[in-house]
Amino acid sequence: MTSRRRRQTIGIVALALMCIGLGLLRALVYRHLDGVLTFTWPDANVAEYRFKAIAVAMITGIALAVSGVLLQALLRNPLASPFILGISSGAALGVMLVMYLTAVLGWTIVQQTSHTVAALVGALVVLAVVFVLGQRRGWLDPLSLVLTGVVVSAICVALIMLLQHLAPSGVRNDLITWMMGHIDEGAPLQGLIVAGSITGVCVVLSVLLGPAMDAGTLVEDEARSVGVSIGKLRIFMFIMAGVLAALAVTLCGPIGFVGLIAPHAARLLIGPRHTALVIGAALTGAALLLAADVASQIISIGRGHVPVGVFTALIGGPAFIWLLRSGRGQV
Amino acid sequence: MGSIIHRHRRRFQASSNSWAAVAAFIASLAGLICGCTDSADVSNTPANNELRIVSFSPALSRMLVDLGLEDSIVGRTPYCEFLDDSIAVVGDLLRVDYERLVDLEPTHVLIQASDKGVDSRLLDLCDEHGWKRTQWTSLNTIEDIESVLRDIPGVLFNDVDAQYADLSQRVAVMLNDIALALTPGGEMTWRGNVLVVYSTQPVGVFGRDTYLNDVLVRLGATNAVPLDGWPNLSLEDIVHLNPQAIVLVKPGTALDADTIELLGAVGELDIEATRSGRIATLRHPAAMLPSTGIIGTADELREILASWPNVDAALEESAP
Repeated sequence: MTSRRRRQTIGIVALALMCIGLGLLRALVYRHLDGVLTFTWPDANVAEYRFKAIAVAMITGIALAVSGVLLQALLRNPLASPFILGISSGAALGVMLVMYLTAVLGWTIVQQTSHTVAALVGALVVLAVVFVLGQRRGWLDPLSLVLTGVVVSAICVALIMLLQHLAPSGVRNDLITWMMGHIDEGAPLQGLIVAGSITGVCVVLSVLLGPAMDAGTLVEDEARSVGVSIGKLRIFMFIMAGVLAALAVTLCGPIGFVGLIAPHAARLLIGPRHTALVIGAALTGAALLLAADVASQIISIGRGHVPVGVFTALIGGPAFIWLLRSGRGQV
Repeated sequence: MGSIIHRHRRRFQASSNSWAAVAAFIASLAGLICGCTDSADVSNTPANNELRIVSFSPALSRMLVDLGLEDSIVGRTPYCEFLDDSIAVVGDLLRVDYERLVDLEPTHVLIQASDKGVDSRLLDLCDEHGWKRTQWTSLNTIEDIESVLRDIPGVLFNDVDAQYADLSQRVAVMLNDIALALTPGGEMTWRGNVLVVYSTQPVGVFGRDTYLNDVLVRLGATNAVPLDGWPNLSLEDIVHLNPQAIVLVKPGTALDADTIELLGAVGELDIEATRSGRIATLRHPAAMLPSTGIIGTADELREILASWPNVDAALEESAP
């Protein structure tokens, strides 16, 4: 076994063990409303919620992280992520629009399905806009992409604020609290199975595409010379990244920075080769969101549970600045 | 030196005049396109010319309306949905529309200060223009609402004015109405614990130290949540609390809306409230406002509590 392969194996095993440990901790930990923290195996009547929370955190973390890996490879930009490129905001706008219309116009539609479709449409539209506007003379310009993503994200956020502004008071609370992002421990089982399956398929495809993604980080001519059709690869990766980001938003609302930080953390641990990186990033993303959810359970500031999005942003924000300043963010 | 400044000022004025003309043109064009009536808003003249109130709080606006002072309100927040659209929007405490505020020339500015305090520019503006500014720092409980109500006559009028006496009388009637609305229900009124939910994803609830907690307690029931403020709860928290009843606060919800559906995952929990069917929606438009709207809110809540069997009977039912 080469040293690179050994490093990858050790890294992936370590991350998997971390996920298992955090998952176990999430299953055991509970802070009662009187502030007492307990570490016990859940009773049958609450076990469902803890295990669903673990499943939701893992699926969302994996989806965001793999989406981040795909986008960073695709755009050859270390700052690319579903959040920074506005995909999460686009998906969130889609869901908010459906929530608003459902409440205001009294639409009777199946909530989970409509949210998933709306998030998917929002994510893909934003992705397409960023992809088209981020090109200069037919080439994807990393700086233009990030700037376009930031601008499109800002527009989506502005439209979300407009919806919140227009919403009657009975609906406004729902729109505002949904935007904070949270681990939905009451997610329907069917929805979880579908989301888990789609995420699993995307992860497997991404792993299989690893060598092509390695080539995809090269200049287009060089990639073509090693037999990789960049055009088709990009479109495929683009759609997968959008689907994964949309799934994550449907499950947990807009949660920032996981898609940015997880790929970089995994890259530091197991190197830049995409086959291993996808697995490493997926495990890192799952661990990150599980850790944030455990923190949300343990840390109490007297107002019940702090939204999990707060912890990911508090961890991810400084990490993002560190990456920017240290120059470690290489694809 | 003075002439240079004068020349610069003139040039600046000329330039700002042309910019103002351009801005006015764009605004009028936008007004034509959107059919907006903002210019009419600004010149809105209250019936009582002496009193021009700007309210930076929907709760305070609600109280003014209920005290019969709607005609004196010239400025409001975008969230004062119950006020006439022709009353100008002056923003909220986070985004004050200073220009609109100056145009309105209020006599009184009423503020419900947040934890962060109040924008110092707004305070300075009030002082500069001689507008009487009054701010209340706490408006959470029924005592707070009653206290603000008692303050209002003195804030708006001198105690020697006839209007002061008149308004004080209306406040007294209102306080009496609140007391009546909060009288405990009859024997059949529900006296168990109630989880008062205001958002479902994540679950946000009314804790202690809130006006709806006070209303519940005064009507004879208890709040299922032992925390203060508006905490977020997990589904597991709710299972452990095992509330005997759930009230979802959703102002303006259609009468035929299904509460279980509106509650989402909470409605599917295996807890005493769902098993017994003690679940209802509080639809009163002012239910989310700590204001005189609690009179209507309390009336609706009393009806809900009265529609459920007494807790003693229910406890007998659930006894093993």
